[in-house]
Amino acid sequence: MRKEGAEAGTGGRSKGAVLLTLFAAALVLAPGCASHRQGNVTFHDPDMDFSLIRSVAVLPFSNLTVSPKAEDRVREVFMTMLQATGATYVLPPGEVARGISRSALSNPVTPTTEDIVRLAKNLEADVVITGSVLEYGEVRSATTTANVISLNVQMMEGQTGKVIWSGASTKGGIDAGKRLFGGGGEPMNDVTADAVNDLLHRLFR
Amino acid sequence: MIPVLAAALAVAVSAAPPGPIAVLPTGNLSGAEAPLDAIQAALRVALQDRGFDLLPEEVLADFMSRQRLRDVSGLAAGMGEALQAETGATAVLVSSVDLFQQDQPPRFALTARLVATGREPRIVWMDMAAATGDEKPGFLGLGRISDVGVLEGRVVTTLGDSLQAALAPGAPDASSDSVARRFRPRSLYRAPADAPLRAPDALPEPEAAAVPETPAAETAGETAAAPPAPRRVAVLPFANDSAMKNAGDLVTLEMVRQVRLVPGVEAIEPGVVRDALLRAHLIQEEGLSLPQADLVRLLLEADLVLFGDVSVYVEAWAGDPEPEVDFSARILSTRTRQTVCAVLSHARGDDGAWFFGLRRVPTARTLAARLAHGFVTGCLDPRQEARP
Repeated sequence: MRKEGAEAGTGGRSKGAVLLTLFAAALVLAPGCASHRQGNVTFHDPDMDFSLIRSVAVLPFSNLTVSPKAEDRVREVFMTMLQATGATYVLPPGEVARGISRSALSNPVTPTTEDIVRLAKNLEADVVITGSVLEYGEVRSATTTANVISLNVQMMEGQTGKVIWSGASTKGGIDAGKRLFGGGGEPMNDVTADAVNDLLHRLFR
Repeated sequence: MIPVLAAALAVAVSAAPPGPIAVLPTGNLSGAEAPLDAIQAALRVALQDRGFDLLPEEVLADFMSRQRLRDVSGLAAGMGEALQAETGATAVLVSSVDLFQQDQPPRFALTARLVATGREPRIVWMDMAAATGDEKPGFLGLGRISDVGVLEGRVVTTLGDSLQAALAPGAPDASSDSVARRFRPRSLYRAPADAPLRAPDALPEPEAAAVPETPAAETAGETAAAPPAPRRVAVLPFANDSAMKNAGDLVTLEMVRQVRLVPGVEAIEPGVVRDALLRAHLIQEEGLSLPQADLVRLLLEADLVLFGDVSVYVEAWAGDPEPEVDFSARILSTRTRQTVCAVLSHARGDDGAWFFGLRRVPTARTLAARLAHGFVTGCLDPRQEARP
């Protein structure tokens, strides 16, 4: 009896150990999956020497959200923070607008390769950046609300018009902690700055 | 007591511009109905009490009618010359109500500047004052003010004293104080003194290269025998993307005031800027383009052009949340045709506030002033290091 009891106890312990191992493995793998997913959304052209980029023209972003003016706001933040890095010179937005007008771009938010080449030549810019704001504003889950932003940005070489860098970032939103404990999340300005910081970090990595 | 007062007035009069001051009708940028006539009258009384010689209202009204002068937000070059020639006024007091709220708690803010008339109007003095009824509630709320008229009186007195002090002989030059961390720009780019990032064709022409451009270049050039001429800064009207009416004008006005405080920098009178933009049919489309910057340099002889965009301007009306201001701004050098400074600034009234609302900024107007101070100091003041 004692032996059977001992075997039963060993079986219970081994089952618990297996469950514990599976749980630990899930914990270890979960962040790995997340980082893998984030890694997939950045593209660097391996043949491009990014240190040669001296001037950048940032075109108006497209707005796929319901928030009016979100694209202007995000573009302004992106331009200023890119310039604040001191790595490149960002052309003033008025000069970019003049370049768009002179280059007769029919749709500056989604330019063709020819448009990019023509615009870069007009503005004497090394690269041209376009972008899209996918989400901007407040999201709600049950009684919890938080601000969220999702944007993607592409960098095109001025001479050829081909994409040399592309990145996407999503910041803010409601996570498990906010669902459990509530809280309003970060202000929209901070969330926007976080997302742009994330993109710039990946660009200069 | 009376001899002391008389002596003080005599000092003020001797230091005032030699000639009468024309007090223009007070403008309204508050977005609410305000008793403008009463405020203008209070300003006149405050100046007269301090011994300033004022141009009679009838004479000014005749001049405005004759010249069809309707814009009272500034003084254009031709208008300043005509005013001096026809009425003898040597200066003009331009004022605007920036905030007017009668509801509890009452709020009031006023900006005023003294502009010397003549061929080229020049800002002699500029200041802003704001007050709210719940600034100092004190024990059991006994310090609360419920009448906006009391705030008006306080603000007008503050501005009158400021003008008197600025024009007194031996008055120190206007200077800007340090910037609290919470009002510094969230993101700041300041051009380095050397090695421009643009292509060589955008470099300055040789004859203009001797003029110091960036603050760092100024501090480096200490061996120059003669002090450099002040850099002229044209502040262009800010675009307004906020829900608050006149937010762009309010921030523009504050930028002019802050630029004046920086040593070695001269802010061009906004009336002159406005007149030049109208005559040149210059309309900013998403900011200033380089040919437009060339035009501004040609028309205004401006070394730097400051422009930007106000995206959030929330005044704390009764029952509303905290005041909030958010703007982006750029400074473009007309000589090198490059951006020399770019910032993002944002703050809420309760940023960095302590218990019981200590250090809280009660109005968006004051918040805009603090942020503009942080921006201008970070970009133009050679005494301040850029703090990204």
